[in-house]
Amino acid sequence: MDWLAFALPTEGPDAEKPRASDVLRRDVPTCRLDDSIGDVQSRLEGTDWAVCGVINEQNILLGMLRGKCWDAPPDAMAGDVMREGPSTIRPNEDLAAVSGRMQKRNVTALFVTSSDGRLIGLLRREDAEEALRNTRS
Amino acid sequence: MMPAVIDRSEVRRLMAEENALLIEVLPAVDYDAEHIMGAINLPIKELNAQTTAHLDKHHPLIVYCWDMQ
Repeated sequence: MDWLAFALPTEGPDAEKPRASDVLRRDVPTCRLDDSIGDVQSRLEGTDWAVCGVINEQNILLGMLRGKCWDAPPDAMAGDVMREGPSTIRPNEDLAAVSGRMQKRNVTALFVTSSDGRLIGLLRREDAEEALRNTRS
Repeated sequence: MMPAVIDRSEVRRLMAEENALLIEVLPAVDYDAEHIMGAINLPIKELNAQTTAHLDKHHPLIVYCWDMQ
């Protein structure tokens, strides 16, 4: 449902279940298609981020930089080296279900977007698992 | 007045500015599990002149389901 995908308020017992929106990191670094890899790497230096979302002016997620993308020459543009069309989830997705899928597919993080593709943040598997452990205890 | 399809922005505007009433037409079991904050439940199979007679028709009435299907 579009309302849930935009993390708008709901009520009822299912509204209390942990969702991706409860745990995602909204401070995931982003860059534009024409940003240089060198500039992006400079911004990530000293942080614990190894991934960067590539977005356009409307904050639509277009791709991501991670892994071997960082081996590109510093003057290479993000748009030329990024991994296009990364897998995404919606903020309303059940956290336990998403965590299970991430474990099964050995995925460490997933971008979270609205139903119209706007970047909201990043869900890290370690954060999801910790939140679920805390919920059960 | 003829019904119109509106988006979530218009829903929020109508609720905030025109005191619109949200009506979820899914079965009660779905409504009870989770619904948009402030919405009432009138399952579609129970929608008729009698069950809607009490609704305030001086304000917008917004009917919603899971999606547009």
